[in-house]
Amino acid sequence: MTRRVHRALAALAVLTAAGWAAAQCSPGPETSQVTIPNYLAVYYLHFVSLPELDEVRFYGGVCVTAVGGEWTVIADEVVVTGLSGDLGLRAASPELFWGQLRMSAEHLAATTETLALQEATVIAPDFSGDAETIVLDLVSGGMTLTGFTLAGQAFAVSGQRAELMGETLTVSGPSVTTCIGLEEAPYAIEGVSATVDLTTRTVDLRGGALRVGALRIGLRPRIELSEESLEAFTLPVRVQNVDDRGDPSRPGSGIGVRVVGVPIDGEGAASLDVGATGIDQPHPLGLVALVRLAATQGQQRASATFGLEAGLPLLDVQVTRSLAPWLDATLALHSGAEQEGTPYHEGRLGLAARSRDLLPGPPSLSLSADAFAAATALTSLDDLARPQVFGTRVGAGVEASAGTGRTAAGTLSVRVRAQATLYPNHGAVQWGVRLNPSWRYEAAPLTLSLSHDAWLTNAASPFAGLDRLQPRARTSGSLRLEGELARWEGERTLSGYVAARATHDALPVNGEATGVTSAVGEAGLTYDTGTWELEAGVSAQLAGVLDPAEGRDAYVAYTAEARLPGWPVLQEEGTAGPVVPEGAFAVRTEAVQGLVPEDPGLRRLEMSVAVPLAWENVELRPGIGFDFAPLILGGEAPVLSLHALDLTVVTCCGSLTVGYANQRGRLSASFAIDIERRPPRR
Amino acid sequence: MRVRRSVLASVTAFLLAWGLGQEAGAGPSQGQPERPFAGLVIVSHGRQTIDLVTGLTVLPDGGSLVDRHTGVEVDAQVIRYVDGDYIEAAGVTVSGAFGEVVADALRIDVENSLLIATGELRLSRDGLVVTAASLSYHALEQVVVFDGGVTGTEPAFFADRLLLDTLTGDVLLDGRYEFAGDLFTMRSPAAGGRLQLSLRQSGDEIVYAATTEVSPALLERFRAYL
Repeated sequence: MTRRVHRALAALAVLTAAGWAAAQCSPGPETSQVTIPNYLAVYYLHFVSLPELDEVRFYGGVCVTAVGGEWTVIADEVVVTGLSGDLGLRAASPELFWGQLRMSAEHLAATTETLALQEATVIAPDFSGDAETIVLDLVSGGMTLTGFTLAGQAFAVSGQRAELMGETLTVSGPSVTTCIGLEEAPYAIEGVSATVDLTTRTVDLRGGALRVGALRIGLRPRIELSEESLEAFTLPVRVQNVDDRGDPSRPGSGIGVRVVGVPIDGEGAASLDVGATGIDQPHPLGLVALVRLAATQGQQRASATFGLEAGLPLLDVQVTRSLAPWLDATLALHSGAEQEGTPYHEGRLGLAARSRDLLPGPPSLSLSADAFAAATALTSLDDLARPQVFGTRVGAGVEASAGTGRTAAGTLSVRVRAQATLYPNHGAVQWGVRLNPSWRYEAAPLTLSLSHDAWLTNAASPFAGLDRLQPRARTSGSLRLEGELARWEGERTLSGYVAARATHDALPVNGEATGVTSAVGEAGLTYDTGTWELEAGVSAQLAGVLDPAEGRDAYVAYTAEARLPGWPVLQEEGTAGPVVPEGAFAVRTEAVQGLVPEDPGLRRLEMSVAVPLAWENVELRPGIGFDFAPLILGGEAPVLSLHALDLTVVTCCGSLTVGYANQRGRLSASFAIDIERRPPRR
Repeated sequence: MRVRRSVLASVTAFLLAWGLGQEAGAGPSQGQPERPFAGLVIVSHGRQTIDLVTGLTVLPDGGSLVDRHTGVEVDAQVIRYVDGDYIEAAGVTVSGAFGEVVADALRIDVENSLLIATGELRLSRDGLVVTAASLSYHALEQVVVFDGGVTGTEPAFFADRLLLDTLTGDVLLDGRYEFAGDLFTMRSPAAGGRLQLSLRQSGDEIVYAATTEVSPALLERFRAYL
């Protein structure tokens, strides 16, 4: 085991000994006490005075507490020095309790003003670590550490020197990594100085660089790291599955992987996104290589993106200048298509005014307005060079938002927008007015919501897919009642829910028929035995029955599932305890019954199973499911309808999970990082 | 009158020395080391009465005793003794290897070589000043036991009992005790304990090193009295 692991175990021992320590710090039948006025009290079993050395040695189990109780030292032996001069204290292998901190060390030396620990281990409620030296200033309450490493659940901070005042740690020569317990972390973010807020567990690091092995990459002059940002920062990999909208040849569709935000300059103002799209069949493979630049100078902000997106060129430049605290002007150039976006070429000048929080609320009211002028060429992914629509655009809009905040009658909010765009080259004007009131009421176990979204517009833009508005009159409502129904001894619980939600479109949307487009009713029960979780539910989509229309479906789905978290345990030896998987053994059955004449009867009877298989550094979660409907309906063999696999690699730096799932032909990929998961202790 | 008293004292001393010398020569201890207090020389400061039936001798004007074996010297205001049995004295000042003791009363048990001093008792020796209710000097073992609430002023302490090794000067506080150092006061556990004070020479000063872990040698030395 490494030295740090040894120290961590020693620290655990300190925690265990805390209760014993408390008991030792009081007079007892065999324990005596002496008090040095205004300095400390000593509880001891034996003592010997050494007048020739001007010392007194307490031994046989000693507790020393400051008068006032600010700190306590537990040791087998404590020597009080300088009895006739400058008082001091020294102890070998002491345990020091200071506020919420518990420290152990190879040696302690103290004066009336400082406590100094050599080769120390420190444990706090939220972090633990070690240091070559720890000096506590008894006057100011500050702490100085040298050659230290402090680790929380998610990451560790080490440095040459640090000063702790209150909950703020100021570090010289910091190094931050999620790799905990390693003598040499394979990667770390190093800097010149850093400020660590131990309450929020955030690190404000200055002059930083990413070190991977022997490679060093400069970062922005100042970066803030937290458990959340570090997770995104350390492995900035994105996995996406983009819908091909019925066209498998559409560039950028399918499964893609990209590494984003790779720094390419020492200042951190330039970064690179690299990756590929369409790595699954039959989608087209496309390269992603985008350079992103950002800069701020005074009242001016600039950003630029250029390179390849899904194998096609992309350029996007924006320069924004603040003309007044409430007014921004933006000059923008764009060429190509963003991920999943519409391709176009454009030069644009815009103004945006905001007057937020006219009433800071509740109730609240805010206003904003915008105007722009642009020369735009709408193109296609097939041929970016050939414009399909070209012309200038001049537009303006105003928007207001108001809300009541949460009241006894619920929360009511209204959003209103009016806008108009002139297309001089096409002799067209598009106008639009939006009214979007909504209401939500929550009083456990009941939740109600109701909203209406109305767009009145002439939908006259020639730039379809870019800025053409669509008339809409959609009303939506939902109701949900959920809660615990019963609870028995041994943590057995029964909970359930009943819910309904519906959407009505008075105007056609995307070519769909008007009327009730969705009407879902559902109910479910969950019985938790403390080990097994049993769920059963029914969900009915009734839109196709209540308001039949072409393409409108109606069906009932029944589900039943049994889950056993943390089972099976495959490895019980070689580690401090059994290796319990984080996944659950699950057996699930789902039956779907069609209710519309076009597709009636049994559509699917799927039975699936998932089993987590965990070892010390690896966890596999395979899942497989078969649809037995063909067997029942036509005597055909069951169909493999579901297969999935998650692979988690658990390291001292956190865990990395990659996986895929194919559910009835819908392929998805996953990529996840858990910086708090570590291998079990050996 | 003073001349007469000096003559009487000289005669008494001569007679006692002669008598004890005769007894020593004829007694069972012939050929063996002389026992403590067996070779006392008593000098009367004045009158002397002898009860010929009981052998009790009273020196109402006081006198002094000298034990040539232990070196103990007693100066008393009144002395009563039965030759070879006991000596009792009042208003005494005793000096010996254990230091100098002032007490209201003293009894020497000649047979057991035991000197007991009681009442307003105060012992002074190099580095140690003690007051106590009683003192027992076990002359054969050269151990002094103070009892009945012992208070020291050099060094400052209090103890239920104090045992002094007159050979080494080492001290043991026994039972409930308090020992005051320069900065703080050591107190025994609630149930009592033992504290060894070892005599040390620090420059020109005599100091005591204190320890709660009593050396086995000292425990053995005091075993009969604990």
